[in-house]
Amino acid sequence: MKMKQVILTVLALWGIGILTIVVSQEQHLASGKEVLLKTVPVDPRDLFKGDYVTLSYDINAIDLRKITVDKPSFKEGDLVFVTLDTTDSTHIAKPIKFSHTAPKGDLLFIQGKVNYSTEIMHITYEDIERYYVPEGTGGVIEQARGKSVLVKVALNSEGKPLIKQVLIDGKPFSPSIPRTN
Amino acid sequence: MKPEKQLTRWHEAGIINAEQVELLKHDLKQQAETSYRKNMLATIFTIGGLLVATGGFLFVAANSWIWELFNSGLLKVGGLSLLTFGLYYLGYYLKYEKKSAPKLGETFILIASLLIGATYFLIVQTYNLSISNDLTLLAWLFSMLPLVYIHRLKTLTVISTCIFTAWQLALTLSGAFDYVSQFLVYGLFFYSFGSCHTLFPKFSEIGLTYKNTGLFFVISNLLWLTLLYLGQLIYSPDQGQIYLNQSRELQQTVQGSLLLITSCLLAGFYFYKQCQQKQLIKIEVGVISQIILSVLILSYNLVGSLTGVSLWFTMVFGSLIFGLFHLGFKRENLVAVNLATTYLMLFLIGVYIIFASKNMSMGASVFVVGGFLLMGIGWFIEKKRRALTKAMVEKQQTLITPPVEVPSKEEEEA
Repeated sequence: MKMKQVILTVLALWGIGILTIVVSQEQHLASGKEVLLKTVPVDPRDLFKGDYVTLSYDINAIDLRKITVDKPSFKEGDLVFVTLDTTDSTHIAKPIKFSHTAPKGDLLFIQGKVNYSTEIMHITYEDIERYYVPEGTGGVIEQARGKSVLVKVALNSEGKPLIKQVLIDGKPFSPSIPRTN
Repeated sequence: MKPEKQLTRWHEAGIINAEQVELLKHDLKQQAETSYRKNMLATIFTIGGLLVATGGFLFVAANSWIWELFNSGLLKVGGLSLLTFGLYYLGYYLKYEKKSAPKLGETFILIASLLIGATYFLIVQTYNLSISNDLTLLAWLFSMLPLVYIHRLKTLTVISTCIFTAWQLALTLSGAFDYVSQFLVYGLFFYSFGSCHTLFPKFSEIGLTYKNTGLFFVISNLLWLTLLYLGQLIYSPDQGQIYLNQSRELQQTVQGSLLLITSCLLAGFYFYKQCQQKQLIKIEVGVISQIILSVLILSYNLVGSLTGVSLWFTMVFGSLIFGLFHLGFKRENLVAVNLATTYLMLFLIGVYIIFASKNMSMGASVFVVGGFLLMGIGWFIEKKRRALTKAMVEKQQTLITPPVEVPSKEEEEA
């Protein structure tokens, strides 16, 4: 194989890899069902990816006594599906059912992993617990603790979530407004 | 010996005349100047490229408001990807097609190999993915490895070892590994991976870089472990024993796999090489087997007693130092001798500090006994060497003795 062909092969492989990831994420965001989740933010920094806000959701801790559960036994690392209800006036998602398998039908549900379980089930939701923000603007979200901080999430057919937007007092988060030092 | 001195010696011996000496000296001077200019240019380009790429990484991490102009994740990632691909192709064009600015071309290839990593981090950042830094670093490593083999540039090889090290560090920091033996496994893997490259002359330079990196990690980690267990034995043997008893099993898939791959690579390599350099290979196999056994000892607490582990690690460290000296003298490799001397000195300083701050009289005994032991070994080796020399001289004399003359065919016929 000539050098040019080798170089083009490498470029094609890089391109395919990047496109596969990007297109699947974009498709997820575009076609996923939207849901609003209530959150409490904190603000650290990653060496490679910069400032981010750690988002902790109301649905991270679910009282099993208050909702329907398909099977009572859960262990750490188990994949779980939380069926959500958004019919109340605020449209904020609330858990109504907890199951080991994905609910059938047109129900709204989110996929998570069991962190640890007592009477209160602690669940982690990968891909929505960090929100990367421009340098120095994480404080905007963190300072909004007293206010209503909501996250608009896109859920795909498997219930996997991806962040679409962060809303502070109903308005989309914008890094160009007040910056922290 | 410097070439200039060599020329003078040849002149004095009458091999070359004064005019030839002058001509050769002038030629040597010109070569040195050209080589200096080339190296300087390469260094400036490399540093420039590294600065640009570091800036790119920081720009991604800063998540600057400029990104907002792109207004979509797809455009952000697409923009950086296109820049990376474009730089790579431009580098290829300048170095291989047009051949007008090969150094600049190499720099563009270098920047592209770094920006592909920045692109991966940008993807994770843009979509807020929960992919950890170690996995992203691994993806970057796999993406840039083809470039290492296609272009065979020293800078790319060094950067690939840096990314591999960063991956290991990220894994260790994430708590996935036991840090005690992690870098020993990593060093062994790199050493064996590098060794296998020497089977292909085309990639021997790459192999040498990987081998040296592996050796550096192995010897540094062994020095640290030796001093750690020795220090625990002298200062707080009870606590040291408790620490040792906490078995650190090789449950982690990556660490176990790395050790398995290392063993297989080494077994294959040495089986292939065995016929060529028997003695050196035997020593290398011996030392590496001891190190693999050390990882297992630590992981499964095979020895059980702190004294035993301290002695074992001191012995393994000693074997490695001896092996390096042997390799250095056998192959006239000054780097190996210097490395062994430096680490031996560091070890002695470490041991001195341990004893000086706790038990000086015991330390004095250890040093004196150790010193006499070494002198004894030296005397024994010297005796052996003399016997060997004597035997060789006798053999040569036998060979020099004129052979019995056999009449030729013509003489016989006459």
